[in-house]
Amino acid sequence: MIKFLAKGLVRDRSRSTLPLIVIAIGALLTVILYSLAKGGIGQMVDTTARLDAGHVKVTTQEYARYAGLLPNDLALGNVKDLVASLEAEHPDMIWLPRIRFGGIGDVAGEDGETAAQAAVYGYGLVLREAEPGGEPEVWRLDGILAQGGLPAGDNEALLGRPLADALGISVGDRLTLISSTLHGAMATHTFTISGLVETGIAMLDDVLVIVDLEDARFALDMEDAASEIVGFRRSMRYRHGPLDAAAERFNARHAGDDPLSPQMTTLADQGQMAATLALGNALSAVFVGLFLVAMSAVLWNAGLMNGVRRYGEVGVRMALGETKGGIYRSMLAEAAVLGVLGSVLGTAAGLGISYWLQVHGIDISDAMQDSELMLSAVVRAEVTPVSFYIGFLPGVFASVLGTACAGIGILRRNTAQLFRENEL
Amino acid sequence: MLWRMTRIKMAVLFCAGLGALGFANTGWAEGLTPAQILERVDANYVTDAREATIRLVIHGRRGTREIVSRSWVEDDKAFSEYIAPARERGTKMLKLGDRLWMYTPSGDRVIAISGHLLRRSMAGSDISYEDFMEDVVFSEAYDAVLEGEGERDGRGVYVLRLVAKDGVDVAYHMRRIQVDKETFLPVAQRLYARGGRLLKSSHIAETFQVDGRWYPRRLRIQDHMQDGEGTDVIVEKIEFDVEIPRSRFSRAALRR
Repeated sequence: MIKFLAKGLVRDRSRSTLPLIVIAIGALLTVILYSLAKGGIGQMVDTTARLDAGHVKVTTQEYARYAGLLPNDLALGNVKDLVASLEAEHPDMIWLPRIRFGGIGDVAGEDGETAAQAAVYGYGLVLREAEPGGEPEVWRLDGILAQGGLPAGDNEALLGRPLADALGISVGDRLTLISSTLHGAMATHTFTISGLVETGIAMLDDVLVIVDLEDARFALDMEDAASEIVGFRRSMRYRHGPLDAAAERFNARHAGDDPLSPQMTTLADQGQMAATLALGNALSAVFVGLFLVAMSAVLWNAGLMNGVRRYGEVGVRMALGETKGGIYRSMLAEAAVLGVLGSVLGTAAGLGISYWLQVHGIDISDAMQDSELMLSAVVRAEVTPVSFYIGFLPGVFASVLGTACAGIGILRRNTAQLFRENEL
Repeated sequence: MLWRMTRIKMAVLFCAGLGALGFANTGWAEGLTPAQILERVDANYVTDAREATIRLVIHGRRGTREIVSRSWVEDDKAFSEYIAPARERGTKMLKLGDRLWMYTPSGDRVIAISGHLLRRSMAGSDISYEDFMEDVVFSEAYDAVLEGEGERDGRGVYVLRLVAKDGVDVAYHMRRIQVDKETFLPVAQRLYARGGRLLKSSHIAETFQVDGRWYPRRLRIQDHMQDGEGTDVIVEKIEFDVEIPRSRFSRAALRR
């Protein structure tokens, strides 16, 4: 019987080719879209974690409330002790104090007068005394360095290349930062440009200034202070459960009325990140669901067409004594075989294309020019273990489901009608 | 014209208009109109030139800091230099008319303070650069209404409400001030925005007499938009009618 069914599939291309193509395309699209969604969301989460939120972030309670204003007058104090206690409690994590500041970048002309000014958004990072796994790696500075080198001496800075272009300066030139100190006073400090960077995030590169943490501390009168301490799991993979528990323990220990007491917030609990993560998971489910429904509808239709075409065959098989259930099961088996074959083909092609997209990505810089999202200009897919089987769900299920729906018609017909239709 | 006369600014170097500088005024001002009271207040500011050493004690949210500066004032020109603490030492400011420049050693740049920067806190205190810039002459800038008379710390005061005259550009649209009846020092002020919001307040805690004038020794200023407990302006030393070299009020002096 199996041989009979196999021969039927091979010889009757109309029974196998169309369903096979439909299933393969469906599986292919499912794999690609899933991988792209996973990559895009993952990229955004990863970028947000590295440049902004960390896997967890420690700030003062009041700073967390007004973080968008970069209120360094509400910054953490006694940072050295705080980092030491965090490292002792969480040896599996990296803890990095950072200073964030806003202000104006001012460039002097030959006469010493202001020649150009631009709004800047700055980071004070541990650069000169970075340990393995530290800020240069978190920021992947080697990869985003477009010109020059990392700050090696006192008062050196990295600038976003678009910012440097806008100010008309380059490596070796000087930029004066006008900002606010910890005490709310105006601060001015001059840095020498050691290098230019391109993170690929348009909204950031237009304003980005990166300096060593100690230089930022001196410039902003923030001795042993930091805007925030970000913590990362050493694997750089975010896992909400254990981090959320750690944050709860930390916050319970530091609960109080002092608005300058520290509090820990997980990545998911910062901004809209929880919603973004949920959206990412929902999108994956929607992709799979949509293709399951769409392919089922197509294959149902193909099954119906086949059913009509195979009236004669079915009639003969019934005449030969095969039960309706037997015929129905054999059709489902055929569908399952086609589903598996189509899914394997589609998944293989989808994985290939997804891998290509993972390596090369899709350049969306034109669309991102005015974007305020922390998204890279190149969106990449991410091939995960799920990518290897996600296409099978719609592939096999849709094939079987479509055939099952089409086959119901056969079960409803009686033997006499079949005989009459086949003029037996 | 009072405009053309050099006014004494000791606290004024930090907060002209907020600082109330004394005038040896012992007479009882019975029967004065509000405008006359303001003229007497304005008279407290008038001098040819002065040099002062001022200590700012800033009671911020994160603790108390002190800044000591020397200042020179002549006509509408002012120059000040921070001499303590070490971090602030060498920071200089120059005011020429309605323009203000600042030099900081760490920035090694002369920066023009303008636009929204003028509203920023000066050295983290409760005094803004706008306060520093303002050359308000009460009798010319405000219409005054005498709201009553009363007592403050056992001394008689006039209670005045000042509203900015049409077309006059001042930092504070309305002021409620208490003027000491004997010294004509504005011993207490409350400064309001056009919308009626209280922005700052100040009161004189201690006065002294020098060269026949009454001056506040200690003035507490509170910015109600900040969380701190105010800034004390303490006059440590002051001299009047001093000779100030013209080069003092030049931009070259900022880098010296």
